Amino acid sequence: MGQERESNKVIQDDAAIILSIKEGKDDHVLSTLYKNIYPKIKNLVLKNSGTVEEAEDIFQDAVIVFYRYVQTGRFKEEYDIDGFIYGVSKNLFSKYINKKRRREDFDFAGNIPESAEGDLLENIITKEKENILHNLVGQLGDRCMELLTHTVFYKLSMKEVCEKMGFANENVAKTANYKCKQRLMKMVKDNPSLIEIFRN
Amino acid sequence: MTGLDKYELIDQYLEGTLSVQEQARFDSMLSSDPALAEEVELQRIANSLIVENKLANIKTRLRENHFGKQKPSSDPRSGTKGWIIGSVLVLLSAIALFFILHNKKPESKALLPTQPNETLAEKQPEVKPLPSEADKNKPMDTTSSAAAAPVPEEKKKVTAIPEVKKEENKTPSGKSEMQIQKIADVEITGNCYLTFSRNITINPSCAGRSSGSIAIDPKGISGGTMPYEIFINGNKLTNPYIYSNVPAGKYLMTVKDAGRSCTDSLEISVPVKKFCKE
Repeated sequence: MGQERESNKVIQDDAAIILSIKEGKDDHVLSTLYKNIYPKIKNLVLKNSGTVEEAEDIFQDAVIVFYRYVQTGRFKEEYDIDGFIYGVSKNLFSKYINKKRRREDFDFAGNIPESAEGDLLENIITKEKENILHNLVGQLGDRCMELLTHTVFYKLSMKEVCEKMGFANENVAKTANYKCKQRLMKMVKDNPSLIEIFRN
Repeated sequence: MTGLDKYELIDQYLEGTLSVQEQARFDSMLSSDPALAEEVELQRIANSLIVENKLANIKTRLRENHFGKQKPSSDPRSGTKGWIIGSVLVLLSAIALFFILHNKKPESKALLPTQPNETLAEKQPEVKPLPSEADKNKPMDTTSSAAAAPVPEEKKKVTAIPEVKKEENKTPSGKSEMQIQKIADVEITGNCYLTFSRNITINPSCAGRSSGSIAIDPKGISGGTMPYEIFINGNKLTNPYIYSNVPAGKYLMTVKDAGRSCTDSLEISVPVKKFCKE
């Protein structure tokens, strides 16, 4: 009985987190994940002679992989968030250690969701990407990026965009979205190295 | 078909919301129209940039809210410590502005050593809370930070900015994860005053391969007489000014103005990329 209630609670919590992500309540999501999952990641990394800094990095990357899965609809209902982030962290940490030590004998056999394995490193946000993006937003402007985030990341309708950003009507929002996207596309076109980095 | 119609059609195609027939028609248009194919690709990459940017933002927020760290690339709007980064950025822009103004009046060159220091001294109180936090940053975290670097050493405040500029200018090589080198408003040395106020985009190369590139935005050059000629290691670049398929290493960029009376050079390092597909 008690166990069942426990697992029901976990499922409800998971659903609440997924909903919060979709609603853009990132601070709430991040504190919950930090509180519930980070201690386990830290423990994992420290137990395997990693440092606190490495644990922090691994956890951040794993959270981003999780977000990406949710955003693209690849995060299946049957996954539990805790297990997913832990599995991804394990995998990321083993890749990191292998890179660092240049040897293959440090291998976790983990219960990582199959689909998360293949291109895991392409799912994280590297520092090089962060720098490029930061720069790009600087050129594009905050408001443009905010608008594009509503339409592309959250896939909001123009009506919802109007409410969030105070456009006069849906047509205005639509035109603004179009113009911002065209500007961004122009920037991509003018900068072929971006194409190479963000093609996948 | 207007631009907006075309854009929306591509959007639906990328979202996978076209009907089977529409999809088939679009596919056949794609195979016969390279310009359309290019546009689809650009739109797809633009979408991917928007998603990546949001994710990068979330990562920054997680880092700032829970690990108490600031990064040069963090979004000033997010996180409780955003204002500190903001103020450092303001400070840097003030100095950048100085260099721009200064470049327009070469005769005022003598003012160079004193004026930026004064600007810096005025702004000091704003950056004080940072050092203890910044000291905790491990090397991995301090990659090439023009914003964070001046902070840790309080005693060196006054000279910190010029040093950082020099470092950015000369040795980006230690910063393996850096791709866009912010070589903003740094005067490059030569026989006259050319100024570079835009980014040079550097793509690291996988070790042992020639997969790096350097892209230069000529609009960022000022001083002398336009048009400029841009060379890297003596090879003249033509529009779009990209020097690609190069191994990691140091490269010398040279800019000559029309008539070649004015020449400036800048050393650029192409770092080794960390994660490469085997």
